[in-house]
Amino acid sequence: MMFVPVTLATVTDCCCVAPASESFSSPLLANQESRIMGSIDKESDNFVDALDVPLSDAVGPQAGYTDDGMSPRDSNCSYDKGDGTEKGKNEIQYSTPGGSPLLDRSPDLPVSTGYCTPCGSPPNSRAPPGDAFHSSKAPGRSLINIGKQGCENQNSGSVPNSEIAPADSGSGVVASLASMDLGSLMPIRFAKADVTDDSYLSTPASSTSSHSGYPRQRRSSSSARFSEDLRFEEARAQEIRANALGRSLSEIATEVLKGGEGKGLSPLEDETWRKRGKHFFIFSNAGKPIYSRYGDEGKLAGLMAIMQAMLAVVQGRGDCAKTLQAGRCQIVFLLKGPIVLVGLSRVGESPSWVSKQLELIFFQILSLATGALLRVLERNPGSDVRNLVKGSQGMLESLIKGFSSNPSYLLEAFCPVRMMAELRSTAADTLDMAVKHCGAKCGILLASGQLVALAQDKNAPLHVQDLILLVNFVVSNSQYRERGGAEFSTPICMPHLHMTAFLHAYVYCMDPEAGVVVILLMTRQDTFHLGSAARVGMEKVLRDAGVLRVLRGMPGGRPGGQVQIDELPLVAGGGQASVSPLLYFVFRTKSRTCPQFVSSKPGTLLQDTSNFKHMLRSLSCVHSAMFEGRTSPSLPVHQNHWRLDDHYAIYAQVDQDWDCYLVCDALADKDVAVRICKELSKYLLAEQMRAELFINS
Amino acid sequence: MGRTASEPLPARPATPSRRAPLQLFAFDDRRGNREGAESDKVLAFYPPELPIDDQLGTVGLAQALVTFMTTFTDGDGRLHSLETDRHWWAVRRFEDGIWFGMVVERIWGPGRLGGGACGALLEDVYEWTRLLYGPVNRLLERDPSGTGAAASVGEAVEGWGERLVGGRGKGDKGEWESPFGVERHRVVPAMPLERGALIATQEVVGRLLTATHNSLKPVRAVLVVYDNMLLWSTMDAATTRTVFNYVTKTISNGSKPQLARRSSTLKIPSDGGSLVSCWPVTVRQGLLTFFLLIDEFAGGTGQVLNQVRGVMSGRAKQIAGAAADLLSSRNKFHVSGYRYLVVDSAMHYGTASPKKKLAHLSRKTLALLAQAQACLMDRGPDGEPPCEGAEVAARGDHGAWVYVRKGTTNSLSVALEQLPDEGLVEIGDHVGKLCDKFFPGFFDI
Repeated sequence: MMFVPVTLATVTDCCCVAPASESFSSPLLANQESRIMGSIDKESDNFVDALDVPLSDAVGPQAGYTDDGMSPRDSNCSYDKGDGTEKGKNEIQYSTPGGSPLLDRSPDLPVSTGYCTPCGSPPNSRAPPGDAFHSSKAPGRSLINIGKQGCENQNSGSVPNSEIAPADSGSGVVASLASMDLGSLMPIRFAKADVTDDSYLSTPASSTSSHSGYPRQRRSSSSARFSEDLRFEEARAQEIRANALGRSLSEIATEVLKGGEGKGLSPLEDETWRKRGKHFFIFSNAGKPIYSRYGDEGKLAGLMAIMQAMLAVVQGRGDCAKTLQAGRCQIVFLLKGPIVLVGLSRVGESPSWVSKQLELIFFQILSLATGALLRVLERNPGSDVRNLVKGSQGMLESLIKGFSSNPSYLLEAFCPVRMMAELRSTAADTLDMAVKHCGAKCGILLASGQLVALAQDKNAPLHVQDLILLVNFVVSNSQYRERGGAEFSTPICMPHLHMTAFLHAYVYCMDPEAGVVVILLMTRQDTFHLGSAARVGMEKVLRDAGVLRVLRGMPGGRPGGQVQIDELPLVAGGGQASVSPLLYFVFRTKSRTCPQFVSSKPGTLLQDTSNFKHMLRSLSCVHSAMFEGRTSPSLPVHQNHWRLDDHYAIYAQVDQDWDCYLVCDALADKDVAVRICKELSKYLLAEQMRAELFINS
Repeated sequence: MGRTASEPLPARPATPSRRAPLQLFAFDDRRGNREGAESDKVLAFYPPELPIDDQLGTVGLAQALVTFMTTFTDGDGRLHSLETDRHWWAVRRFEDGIWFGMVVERIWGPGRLGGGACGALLEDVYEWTRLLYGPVNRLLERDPSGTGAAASVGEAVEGWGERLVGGRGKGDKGEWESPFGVERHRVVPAMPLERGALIATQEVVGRLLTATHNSLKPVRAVLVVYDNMLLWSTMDAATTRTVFNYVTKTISNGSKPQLARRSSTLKIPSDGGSLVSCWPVTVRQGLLTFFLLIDEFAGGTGQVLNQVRGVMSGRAKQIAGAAADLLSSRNKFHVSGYRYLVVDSAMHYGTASPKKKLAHLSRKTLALLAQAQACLMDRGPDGEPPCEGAEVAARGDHGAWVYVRKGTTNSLSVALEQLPDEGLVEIGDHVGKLCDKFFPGFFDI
């Protein structure tokens, strides 16, 4: 990997030299950043000052954050340390791993007015020459001709933009499908739902006018009726187009999936690829590939185009596809603005859990690329944005692996480190002081990926999902975990807070062996030195108090597993493995700001990774059944759930303040499980144990 | 201020073709793959008045879903289901190249119960078609133009569509939208007779089967039905269910829309597995119906009928009286405090609480039970049976308990709405007592 030197900073005592071998950033990112850096170097610091407005002062684009993802990240980062150190004494680089070029305004990003053409096609969509689809597929021809003609009429004379076609998107049918058929369907959806899609990323200023630039007017009742009729007609017209595509879709799918990709080259021909337990695909709503967990996205362009075509046909009928299932194989679709996420699972997970995984992947991508990625795709659905997310592949892989090994994502809760109450209190107080000292929005102290302390404004806490993804962002990057003594500053978006704004994460590894990492989320980049100073003080206190020594002695490995089953009282399921029916448990405390869970170390039967994964999948099914279709996040559909199958007896209970999930052996009786749940909750919530296990939120 | 990413996008308005809550269709994926001949693909479509372009759009998408899924799954004989915001799509292949599919609103009929229920309905429609006309491929062999097959399959599909949707949306879909519906579980409601009536039934049936004409035994099978409940059958479980459907949906009285009664033969599997044609003959005594399947080539149907009447005289009255007595206590199948369904999948037999009692259950409880049933009964996506001895118990946020237990071939579904303060252990005990009292030994594992 290669870090991109952002700028030169001057410090006296901290040292952080960005290695040139590793980075999240893709080559394109690097090039673009380098280019941007070059331009910034030539500019004055005022350029940065004009953009950099504290998020804490005013959240929202109108408060100074540019809605188009413009970033001050690459500004000149010289800073004045709190101790009065003067700038320019030592020149040390600090870097921005995981940065995205979308945080910066690229001068050659297309500036489009959106879809304002009656045919709804992107203004610059073009049919590829030598289109095999046009020449051979009569049912689709009329559709395409209509779309194309309308498009040409509207856009005659428009200047082709710099749309990048996937290099390996295939020729003939695939290319034509991706570029033409979908183009003639999708933009109409946008044109019809312009308010929706406009507000998806828009600023208040932009919401006062339509895409075409004309101000919106209030409608009278008669015009509203007329509008209703018009909408009906439009819907019917779109349905006719969808049906026209639908009738030829099966032929196109057959051609693409069974031979159109080029034999021997496509992953579709690879049995190993096809039999993978889980796939994740991301593509734009124009069918352009963005990400695939396995296989080259370019070679999967046809597959993704077919998926998008199917979705477009369903959408054309005024509906939205959610889950496709055949046998053990289920495919879950998640549409997020102009991005489509698809998860394929054949390992027995529930559709709602797969959908949640997709959502987390989406937000993880946004945490780096920000909503500007969506904006680019909305302006030009044909854009090839593969390179913009390529840098996050390692992070995504870590996230995806975590889905089957870390209950944190399923439960949306933090996994706290088990430690003595006094030490935890010291750590929490120290972190809290550091956060206040540097004016950070949030501070996190991690050890081996588990939470030691969390400090944030209780009146305006960050969304738990955002923080969990932030932890994954840091933990998945070996640079952050292992480079002791190095200070990093990286912009990171908190999508639930604001999709297009971002905070600056100050990351410092205090102890590479124990993976002790502190993260301070700053609202301004020029407060890096404050974060650094606060960290120095914090580190000193933690070291003197012995917290770091204790954390170093902690076992690493899989998150969770703070409690051994044999240390539990017998009535709470404790005892030797041969005696206790309890195999595993997860106990989650509810909190708006800091939900946490404690779990047992897997027993003998679950030591094996595949067994543990299988157990966790069973648990996820129970969790999904309990929470699927809930009307309130705190109110589950099931209060108690008991499930017995060939492998496990699972009992779950949701209380006002906690959830408890027990996995017992399949011979366990209900009364035993209920008793264990009752006693276990008592034991874990006893004052001393609670202080040891949970962070006081 | 910009929206946060977690906010959902508003739904789009409905389009015209959404007016029909159910679309039911059959297609042949080997036909109509030529430009301009796409309509040959569609063998049947309900509602038939839907424009052909819309029909082709639906069928094309259904076929595309299947084609797409073959990238990741082997074999296309299994059910393919697509869940959308407002609909369930289900497609399944029953013969080489012959697919039956449906699109149903999620808030209507089997759509309430999910893809598994849609798949069960498709099976019923196909089996009905096969019972009346034989395999679709055989129809296509006889008439390669497909006109004959389209007429036959079309009649079956449209008949089912009409029956489910009804003239004014008041069709008979109740059994398909309740988790207690026996049709959704592909079983028939049966009535256990008392010993005397049972022996009488057995005697009558035995004499019918051994009745001869020209030294031949013309009666191939007998089904005895009382008030839409099965008393006796001489056919295997699967055929019994199909024929029972035919009897209750075409012959028996009632206010529900009836499927068209045909005077032609029915095709039932013979001992060797091949299909044989039989004339259906119905003999009624009040609510009691003896349904006979007489060999098509036996001849002398009139004489056979005379023999049948002779055999049945006297005995039929006794059986009908016993069955009437059994049902006269209004709540014969009611167990106070419980709403239940017992299903024996091997015998295609089911018993449920009285419909009037089930009608009082809340939507939430029904949804909870449907979810719990799906956990156990719909598992086995590759056709394998769900694990034995599995059970799911859950308490909803409204306090009702549901309990589903799956044995080797049988299952029990119970809803308890009046015990919100009871815990899991107490509920388990209650259900155990119910089993011991009314279904002893049924769930001994």
